Amino acid sequence: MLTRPLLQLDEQGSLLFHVPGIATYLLTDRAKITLSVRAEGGLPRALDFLGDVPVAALCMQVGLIPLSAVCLSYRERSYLFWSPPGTGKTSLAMALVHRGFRWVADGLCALDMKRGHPLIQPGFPVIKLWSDSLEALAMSRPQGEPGPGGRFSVSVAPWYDGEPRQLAAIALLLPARGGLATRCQRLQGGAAFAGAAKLVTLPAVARALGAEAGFMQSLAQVVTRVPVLDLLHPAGLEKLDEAADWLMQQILFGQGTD
Amino acid sequence: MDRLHSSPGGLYWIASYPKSGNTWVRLFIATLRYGAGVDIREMDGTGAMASGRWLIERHLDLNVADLTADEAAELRPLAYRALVASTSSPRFCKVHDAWGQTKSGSDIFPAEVTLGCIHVVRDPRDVCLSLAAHNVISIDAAIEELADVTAATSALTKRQLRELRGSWSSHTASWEGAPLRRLTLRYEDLVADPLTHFSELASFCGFDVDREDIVSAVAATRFDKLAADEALGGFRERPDGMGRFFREGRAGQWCDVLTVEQARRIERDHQSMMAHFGYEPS
Repeated sequence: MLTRPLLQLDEQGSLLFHVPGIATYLLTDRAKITLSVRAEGGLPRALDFLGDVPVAALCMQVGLIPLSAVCLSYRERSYLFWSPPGTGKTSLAMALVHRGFRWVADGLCALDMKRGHPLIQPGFPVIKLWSDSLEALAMSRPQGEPGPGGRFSVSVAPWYDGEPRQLAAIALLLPARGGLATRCQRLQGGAAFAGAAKLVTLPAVARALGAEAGFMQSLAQVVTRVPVLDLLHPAGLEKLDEAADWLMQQILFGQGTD
Repeated sequence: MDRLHSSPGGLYWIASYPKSGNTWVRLFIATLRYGAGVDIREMDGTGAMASGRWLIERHLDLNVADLTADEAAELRPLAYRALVASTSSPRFCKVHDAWGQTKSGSDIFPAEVTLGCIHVVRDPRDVCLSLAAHNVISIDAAIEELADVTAATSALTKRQLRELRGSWSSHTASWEGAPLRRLTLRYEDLVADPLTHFSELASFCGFDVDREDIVSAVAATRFDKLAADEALGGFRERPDGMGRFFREGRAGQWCDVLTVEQARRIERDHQSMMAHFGYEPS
């Protein structure tokens, strides 16, 4: 039904995801994930990938829309932050948490439209940060070694918000590198829809499951209700506090938000 | 309007040692392809870099930040095959890796999804000046890097997978020997006679254009214009701490800057490959 480099989806909706040398994940019956761990990788490494494709596919099969983003809450409303990988969104989100936001989800955010309005369901209370990010955030290194890619697992339990939260804004972030000026603009119409559509993870799987059209209709509803902001923020870990203050101002009080 | 609309899907690798004109060539191609001036403030190489996490992860459905550098490298050919399977038009990817294979022996840049390789080569004596400015290091440190056959980017680079570059000579030799359809362009020739050599490039890639289109694209991507655009609005691909990305673009700057010892060291280190490309010793 669908074959991608690391996953296969069959006619019954069973999905097999394979991370070479680490594990395979078999999703069946819209409910069960069976993990086969490769000996050299061990369970901890297998768990690193469980929250991405396997849980995202599971979300799809139970009618939730999986989005690739960080989600924070503030005064019981949720904010989604998206940026290309490695551009500092998790560090920036943690700096916002130090300013009063609470942590809802990292990496995979489940958008729930079943009640007619957009809710983000809470994710796992663990994030991953590189050591220079921890330093910039004045956070101590967790005990133990970092993962193979160099990131440390950090518990966000003290700041965790385990409740579904109504979505208030979607922020598309890019660092204003190379002398570019900072910018915050509210996207309108098709640009807002295209911006929000960037967040949908595993679009090929959604298409194969026949869920894509429904997801896009839901997103079209979302962007008529919440602002989609295009932001170029102060860049670099040395400007993390400046970037967090600026971003907080833009998303809570800026002209682009309601 | 896409002036490559009649071409099949596949990848063109714009391959070069860093600071050899790769971005300039990429801007020219984008301008020629879509027939409009490129706003360099909006240009973001993240999605066009062969080693970029964004490009790799979108096609693998996998967060590679939890993999070792070797594990991630093994997956690169799979990502490029998936990229080509997802598109019916040519894609251009910037490459600073040397051509090579993964530890398990797969070609990192698979021939079966490659439409061609545009290999841009620049005199290493000028490359070292540009590399020193880009990496904010001394000229002597840049000369050392050019000679280092084991040179690679950090395994922990956040936005990119590790790039195995090697020395200027081994990097250059790797692409000249790669089993791929190839057009080699010397940076110095592009500077001296852009119309002729960018026309070669257009022909190599099968652009549906006439001479006037190429003249317009050359004019829109003149080095002094790009430098002025950067001064006005910035350039996202400029690294932190670097004064300007588009510095001078002039060929032969090394004559005014390098000491005799520095120039001779580079000529000794890269004698054979420099001779191959007609870079005369001082």
